[in-house]
Amino acid sequence: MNIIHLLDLINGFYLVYACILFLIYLLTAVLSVSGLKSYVNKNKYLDYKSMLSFQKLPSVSIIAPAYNEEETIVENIKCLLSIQYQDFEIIVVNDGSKDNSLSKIIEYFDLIKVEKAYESNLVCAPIRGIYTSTNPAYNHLMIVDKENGGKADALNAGINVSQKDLFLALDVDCIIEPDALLKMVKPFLDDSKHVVIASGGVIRIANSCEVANGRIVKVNYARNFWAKFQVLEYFRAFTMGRMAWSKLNGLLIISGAFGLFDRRRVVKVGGYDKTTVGEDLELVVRLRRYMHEVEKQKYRVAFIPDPLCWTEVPESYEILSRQRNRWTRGGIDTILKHKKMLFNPNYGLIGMVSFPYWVFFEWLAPVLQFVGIIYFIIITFLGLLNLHTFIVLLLFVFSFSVMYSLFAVFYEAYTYNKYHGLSYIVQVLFFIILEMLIYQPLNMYFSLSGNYDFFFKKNRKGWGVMTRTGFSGNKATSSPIKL
Amino acid sequence: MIILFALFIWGCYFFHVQRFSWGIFNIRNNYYATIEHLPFWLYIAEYLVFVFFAVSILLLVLTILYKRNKRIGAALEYKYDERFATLLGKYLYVDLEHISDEQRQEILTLKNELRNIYAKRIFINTLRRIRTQTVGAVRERTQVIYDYFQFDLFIRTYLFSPHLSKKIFALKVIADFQVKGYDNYIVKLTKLNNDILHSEALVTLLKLDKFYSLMLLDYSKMKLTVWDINIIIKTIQEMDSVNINYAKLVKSEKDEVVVLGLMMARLSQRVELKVDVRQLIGNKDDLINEEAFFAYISFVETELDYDFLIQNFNLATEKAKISILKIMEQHPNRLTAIDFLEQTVENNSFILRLEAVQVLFELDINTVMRLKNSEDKMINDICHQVLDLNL
Repeated sequence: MNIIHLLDLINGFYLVYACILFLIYLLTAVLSVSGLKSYVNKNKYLDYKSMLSFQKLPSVSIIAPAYNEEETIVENIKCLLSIQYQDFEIIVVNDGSKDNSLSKIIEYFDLIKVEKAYESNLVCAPIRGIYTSTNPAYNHLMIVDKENGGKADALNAGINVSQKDLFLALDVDCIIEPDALLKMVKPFLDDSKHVVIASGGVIRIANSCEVANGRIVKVNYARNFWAKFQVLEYFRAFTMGRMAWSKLNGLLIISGAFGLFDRRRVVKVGGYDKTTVGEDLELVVRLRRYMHEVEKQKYRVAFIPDPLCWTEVPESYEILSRQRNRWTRGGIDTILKHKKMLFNPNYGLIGMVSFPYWVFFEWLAPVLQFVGIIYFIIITFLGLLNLHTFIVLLLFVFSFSVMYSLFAVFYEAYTYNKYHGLSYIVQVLFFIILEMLIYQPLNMYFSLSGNYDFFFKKNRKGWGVMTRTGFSGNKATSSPIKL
Repeated sequence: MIILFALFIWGCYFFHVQRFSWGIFNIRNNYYATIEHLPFWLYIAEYLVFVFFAVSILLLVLTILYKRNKRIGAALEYKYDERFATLLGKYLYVDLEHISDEQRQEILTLKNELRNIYAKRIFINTLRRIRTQTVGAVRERTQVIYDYFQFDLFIRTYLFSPHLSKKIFALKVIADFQVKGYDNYIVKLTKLNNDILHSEALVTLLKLDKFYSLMLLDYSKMKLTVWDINIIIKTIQEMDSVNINYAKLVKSEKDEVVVLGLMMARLSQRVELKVDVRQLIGNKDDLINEEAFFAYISFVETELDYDFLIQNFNLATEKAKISILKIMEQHPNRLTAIDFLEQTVENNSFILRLEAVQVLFELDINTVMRLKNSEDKMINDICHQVLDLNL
């Protein structure tokens, strides 16, 4: 085989790979539009508050792990207490915070330590105490104080203490809409063909939004340079990507910041995996495996496209890189743990489509991108680069990316229209163009570093330090979540 | 997406032709000289770059237009809403047959305004809101106003529209304002394979006092969901008088209809159905079994009933078991109850043990004190919790 044939082979491989990827994106757009349109039409005149007087409604535990959140924890819990639901409890798990989080909560909510018995179904670090309030206004609230063990460990402790039908895994610093729980629970009631095992919701970015009394009162486009890119990224990921996968019943991930699960089934599969940093992805994959291997029932992971949860995203290069590095390691870990599912028809669509997609287009795409860049440099040096073809292909990728992002922006405007003003449109356009030049290459780099850390440094469990700026000018809190 | 596909096909076609003719149209392909030297795939890539950029510009323009329209729409809705609410407030107490010239002029202006479909929808919604939030004379006046403005044709158009959201709007209005004449069509809607429409149509029939619609459930292809059952019960609970054949529902061949019947029998305390309910205990369908237990628990009268529940305790779902344990506090024979609860504490799941100890605490604290020293750590912990919380 001479070099020309080899180059043709490589070119052909990249062309086919790129074409499949573009087709998947187009299909994603079609499916998400169809799913979202049907959801909006069906729910246009629905009064969710009527659910509050339903006779048969599952009970819900909201489990919110907290680590060193003293600056914002009281406000966050107050926000959670104002949620609308019939039978619910809020379990805040203090995961061995080193600051005054616990004492602040105890003081504000009149908590006392109680002798509460619980079942240790899931393995977790020792629980030091359980607190409930003496004030009847806070009778939904329970605080679990435990030794530090990480987010998955804290969630497992919360599940052990919880006694409700469903549980909502929630990052304590997230802001959720008052009717979020009602909307998330609905799929558990209205599906006659499938057993619903979990339900995920859309997460929107709260950076620069105006917050009052634990509620978003004005939605602004993020002011921070890095957050601006992430707003666009979240539009694509949630409005388009997850909606489309949900339409196919092939959703593999429910965000760890906001997801509702069937508690009994989560206990049966062994709860959150403490040995991985991608515990949210891993749990959904394991639950799906369990449904195929053990229960063998028709099931569904539901997805609610309404913007129900608002979270703060990294505003600095360092934190963003750590977060993406962690996501990559979590993804690889899950793929390797469940590699049995790859192209395995026993797992239906998950084994044949969703899981392979995750492997080839989520995990391997950045690796192939990097190899492609190296290949480009080599053929340039060898004088084998056809400049015309290169420019056409570069423009092709660029124009497609711009179109796809603009479609996500358009669809946000068409459905929920949370962002206003001409300056938003101008900025969005500018950042969509800039994204290809700055953010995408950086994301590729973060992902590669995640691969390197996972395979060569054997760093599979480290979370890295996450710093939050807090909403509405709250003081910054530094949260080393467990290294 | 269709535009994108059409553009793609059009572009592919252009690769092969020097001139395009259709009827009087005769277009020359000016790029043919350039195109013919390109490989087909590269030409397509170049062409798609053009298409993608064109669609991007289109999307950008559409986004701006949509945002503008939504902003104007929201402002208009607010304006209409305010105006209609004020006007309705004013005319709720006025006899529309005997009004002054000035009022007649105002109503005429309103009628003109209501020619606009958008305004009409907001007006009806405002009227619906007032109707659902009021009772007595004011509520009756909303019906008079609705009839006065003769919205029937509009509602009919919406009901027969192919758009789901329009159909649902029409059904809600029909239910709220008791619009007659569409029963047969609504019955057809209950049989459609569309969950939202099916459920809304059913609720509409119920609100129109067509309780026979519950029997239609037996013939519907749609399986009732827990959501539907909740909605139906809520609708019936909100109505003043009901005329439902509970026995027929409980004996239905469709499992979900039986569940609905059991729940309604429990809520309306149809003790006469106790024998039918008893037969459903231990049913292979978990939901029927659970609801049968709940219904029976709510019908409990004699010691025999309590004993029946104790005997069938193992057939119950966990939630039903908790309910059985809870009512043991009222068991006429205290000793039997204590004995049963003690057995439950010894060999059951954590939640049942906890419930049993809680009831035991109310019945006989000494038993709890004794169990506190149990060798089983879980029982030990549970007793500590119950004593800690209650003492």
